Amino acid sequence: MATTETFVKSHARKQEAAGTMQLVSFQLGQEEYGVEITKVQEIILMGEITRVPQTPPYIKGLINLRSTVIPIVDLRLRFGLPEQPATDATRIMVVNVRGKTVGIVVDAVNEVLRINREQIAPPPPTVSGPGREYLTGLVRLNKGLLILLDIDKILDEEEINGSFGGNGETVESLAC
Amino acid sequence: MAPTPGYSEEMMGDLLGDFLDESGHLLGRLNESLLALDQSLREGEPGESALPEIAELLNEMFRAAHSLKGLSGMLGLGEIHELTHRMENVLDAARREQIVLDGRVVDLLFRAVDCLSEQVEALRKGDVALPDPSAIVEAIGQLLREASAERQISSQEDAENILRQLSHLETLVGELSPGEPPREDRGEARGPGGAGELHSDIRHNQSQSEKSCDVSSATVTPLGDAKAGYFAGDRGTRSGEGHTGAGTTPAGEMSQSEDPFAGIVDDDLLSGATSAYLPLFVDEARGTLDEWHEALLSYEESRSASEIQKMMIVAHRLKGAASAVGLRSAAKVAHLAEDILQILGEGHQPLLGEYLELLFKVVDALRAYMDRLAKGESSLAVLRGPAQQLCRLKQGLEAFGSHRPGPLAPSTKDERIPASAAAEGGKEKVADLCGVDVPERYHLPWAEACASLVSQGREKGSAYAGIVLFRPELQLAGLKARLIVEKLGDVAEVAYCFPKVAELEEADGLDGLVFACWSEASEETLRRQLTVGGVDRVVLRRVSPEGPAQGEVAAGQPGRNRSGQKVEEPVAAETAQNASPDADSLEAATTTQAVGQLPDNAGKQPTLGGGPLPSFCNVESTLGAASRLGTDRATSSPGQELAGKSQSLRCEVQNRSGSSGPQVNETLRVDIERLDELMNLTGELVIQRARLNQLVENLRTKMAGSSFFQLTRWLKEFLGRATAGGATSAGDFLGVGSNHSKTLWRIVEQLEAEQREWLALRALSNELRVSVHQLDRITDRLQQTVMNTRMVPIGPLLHRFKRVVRDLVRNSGKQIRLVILGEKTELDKRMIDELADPLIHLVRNAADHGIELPEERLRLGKPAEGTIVLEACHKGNAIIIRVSDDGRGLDAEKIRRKAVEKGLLSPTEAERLSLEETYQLIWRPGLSTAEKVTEVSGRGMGMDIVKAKIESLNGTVELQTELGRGTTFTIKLPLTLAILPSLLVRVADNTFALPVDTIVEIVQLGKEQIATVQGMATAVVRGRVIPICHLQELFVWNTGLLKEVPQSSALSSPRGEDAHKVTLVILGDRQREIALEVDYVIGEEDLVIKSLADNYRTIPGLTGASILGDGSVALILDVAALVDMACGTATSRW
Repeated sequence: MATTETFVKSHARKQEAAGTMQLVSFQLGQEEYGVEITKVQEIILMGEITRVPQTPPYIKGLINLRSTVIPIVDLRLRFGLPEQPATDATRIMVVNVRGKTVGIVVDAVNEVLRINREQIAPPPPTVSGPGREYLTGLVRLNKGLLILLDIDKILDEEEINGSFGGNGETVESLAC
Repeated sequence: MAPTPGYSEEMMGDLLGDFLDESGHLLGRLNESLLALDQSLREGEPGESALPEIAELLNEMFRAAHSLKGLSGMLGLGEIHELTHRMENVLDAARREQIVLDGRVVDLLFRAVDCLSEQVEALRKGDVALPDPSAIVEAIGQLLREASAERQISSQEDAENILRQLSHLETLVGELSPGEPPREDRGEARGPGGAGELHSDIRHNQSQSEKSCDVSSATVTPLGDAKAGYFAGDRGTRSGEGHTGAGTTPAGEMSQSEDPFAGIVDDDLLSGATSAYLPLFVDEARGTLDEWHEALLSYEESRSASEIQKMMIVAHRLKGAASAVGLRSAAKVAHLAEDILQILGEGHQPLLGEYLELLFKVVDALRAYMDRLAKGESSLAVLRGPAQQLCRLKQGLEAFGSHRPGPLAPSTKDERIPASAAAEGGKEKVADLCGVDVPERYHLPWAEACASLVSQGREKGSAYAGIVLFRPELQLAGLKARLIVEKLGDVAEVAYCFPKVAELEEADGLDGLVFACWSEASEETLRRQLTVGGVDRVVLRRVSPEGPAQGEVAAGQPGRNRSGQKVEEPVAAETAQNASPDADSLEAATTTQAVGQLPDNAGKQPTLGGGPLPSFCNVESTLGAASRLGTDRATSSPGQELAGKSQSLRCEVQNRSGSSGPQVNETLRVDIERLDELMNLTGELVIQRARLNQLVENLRTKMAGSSFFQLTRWLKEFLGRATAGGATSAGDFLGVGSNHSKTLWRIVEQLEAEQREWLALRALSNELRVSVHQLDRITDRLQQTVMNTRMVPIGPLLHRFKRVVRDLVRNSGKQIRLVILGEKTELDKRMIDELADPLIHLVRNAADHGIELPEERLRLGKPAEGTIVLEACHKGNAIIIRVSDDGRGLDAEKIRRKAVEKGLLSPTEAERLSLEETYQLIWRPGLSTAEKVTEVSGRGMGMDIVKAKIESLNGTVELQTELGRGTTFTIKLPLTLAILPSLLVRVADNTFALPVDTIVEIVQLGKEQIATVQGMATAVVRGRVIPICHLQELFVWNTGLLKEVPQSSALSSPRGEDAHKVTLVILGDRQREIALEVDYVIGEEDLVIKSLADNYRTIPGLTGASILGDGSVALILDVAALVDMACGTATSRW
């Protein structure tokens, strides 16, 4: 598991009230995605992953995160992109979703950026492609577009409660 | 009923948690008492229900039911409240022998308790709809009606309705007795669920029941403090009756201005059963007091009414807890505080400085009290001062309350007593009912009586006020009362009578008479006049409207002398008490100073009277008594001193009696999840320690085995000889002084230096070893301690089965004795929770199938009564739980036949089974030897459940049986659930863990020993044919299966020199075996189980995961599920 790059996010929440939010942006295929920083616990390097049977393909397996066993989701597979061998840039983003800690494999983590809420545009109805249903919006940046992901929803629908009789907890949106 | 609005969700949740906790205990107690009752009823002659132990049991149950009622009322849990209320009715009726205690009643109670348990369980699960108790409520109503207690019920219900209308509080359910005159404290209908009111109701009931056991026909009740002695002395005869709940409280809050604890006897809680709960109580009480304190502080800040509410709830909780452990004095203080808060809260008046100050003081005093309690002292001294102040404040507020436009109080009070203001005055004047056990409903008439004497002024002779109490169930009580009034008229002039003389004859269910009179006759004469047949007790007091102090000593003393109680001290106390009504605040100050508590009290006290809010002094003046204030103060000052002295004396006595008690252990309530976490961490520590040990051991052997020294020595010797000799062929090369020689010697020197380093290293390694060894021991102890914190005795669990057996016995006509052994054996809390289910199946089986009917047993030469033994003990690192019966045992023939019938086996297979194998069939689902399916068993699922459950706890269950002799089931469980001894195996570059308990054996077979039977690879191991399974096939692997290893079985995969050998781990589950093919076995290790559901979800076939010493994650296989899967695939293939 080696080194961990932990984000300091203590003041992240305070800033949110002021109409700005902090995102962690990451790369997946050709697209750049963003996740609210409050959801991200830490970012770690790829390590050995113990595979688990009886799970959907996008569950890569389990890792030991400081004595906690957490599942690893390959976001590429989740979004229906072709699987790719891990590179030096490949990272696991450890996110907290409804009390569960889950690792998400992404091609690369780009940066932490602060945006204004005004910068978020609703996803255009024509957008189709990987993860369409998990988009909450698009963020216009100078260098291009960033796809804002509702990470809760991604893991909610199938991974966490999944096809194994989800218990219908109410979705409390921590965002916005 | 919805929870009373106005509480924050959080607080309700908190309270609910407490309630669930508490109700568990209470239900357990109810159940246990009920069982004991059932037992003694069946053993005893019918109709002998008056046995003292039965009465005690009824009391016990009553208390439990009442506590539940109070708690549920507070939380607004209508269903539970209703049901417990009904139970109280039944228990009360039984206690008064209005109904005959028989099987039907007990059954009904059992049903009620069951229903309560269900309700509590539903609450625990968070269900909104609680099970409906109406059927049982109806049945209880029926029962009471039949027992001609109908009138009581109907009048009770009427009273309830009236009360509801009056109070507009839907949660208020009053409990009034037949013909009871309107209650004086109706005005203070309690806010949160009417709990306070119910509390006093019960006191009333209990005091009545006490009365009924008082045999003397006209005992003059000793007065004042002597009362405490009276109870203490009486306790012996009533064998443990000491804690009659709040029953011993004389319930005369209104009149108790002087000694708030008079007549209150705390249980001797430093001995006996309650002592076990004391640490818990102290602990909880401290928490509660902290909360209270916090609420006070935040009230000071915010002045918000919700804080008053919160304080009320907190005080109520404390009251409940204190009276549950028998600390009635503390309960009383809390009760008073609650009342005051209530009155203030209702009036929407802010609590001003003095009130807050007093409440702070109360909290402090209670804290001090708890501290002493924790040290094993029971000291009321610290409570007395604040309690007195509370008492007075309450009276003041109440009196004032009749004038203020409060929401409830005036309407109810005034309609009954036009002269209530005067009555209040009288009460203040002659508030000396304290310590006398008189039903609360007579307190107001008493006050009125006294008031009438005061208001009418002196006529002739002395003024007397009295209460005559009739024996319960006295026929024609009205006539008797009339007679008494007439007799009294002979020697005295009756100034007041309650009920009114004209109404006496019509009065139904009369049980007492309050009067006031002027008479020149002596007290003795009066008493004689009053004592007629049917009179239970007479309370007679001389009332001196002008100088209360003078007459009272004379009046009080005879009573005390008669009862043979101590004379000196109480007199002093009495004097002081009577002298002080107007000098209360001063006396209180003296008292508190005398006991050394809160010395600042004296300075603050006077402000209480002069404060802007109505308080005691204001009341006095409204009542027109202010004119006498000055003189009274003057006359009473000697009394003050006496009071101070006697108080301190009493405190001393209490201190002395208390200090001998044992030290109370401190406890702490901890969330079990934290303990789980602690346990997990310890488990990991233990595993790391094992690894460390291994490393150190390796290091040591490596170092010890090194030939470093040897080689250096040889080199040195050789070099020495070579250089010295000079005659060797190498002579020139290594000659003395040659460069080479020098170089070599230098190397040798360096080697020697290295050697020293090496030695130091070895010493270090030894040190490391020692310290690791030390760590070892500490870890062991840590693990032990952590485990111990989770251990609870199995006793309560085992005792639960008494009930199970009892029910079975009733339905079956069998005679069964349940013997419980080793109830002190401690098990992990989680384990206990899980064990209930399997054990219930085993016990039911034993009772239902094992034990024969009495006739059959006698025929077989066994005692008619069968025995089931439930036994628990520790054995090595395991816990053994045995369930054995002396019944008919398992019939192998029958099992075989059944198995064939059910299609579990073919007849030929059945033939071949050994006895042992046959018995094992019982674990198969669907097999039952019962001829018919009964209510409790016979479906054949039970044993399957037992086995599955025990295995989920990593335990095993075995059975021994002998036809005609009985069956024994032995459950073996690990001490803890957290650590799992496992075998690590390697399959296709993945490490898997197999619980050691599930492994039958490990074998290596040559390929030739593996045959294919109908497409399945099977191995023949010691004559058994076992199917071979592969994890690659059993599971669905999404990520391209297990690495690059070919998917096909080992038969075709060449693996180096081992290619012709196959390693098989034979796993067994319920007599089914599979052979798991593995690449190789790594070894045994203790693993800490990590749940997959914590961060993901459960996965069929896996018990969980574990982190190995190297930090990697290994999957722990669920062998039972594997076997199921294997069998499933097997059948699908065929």
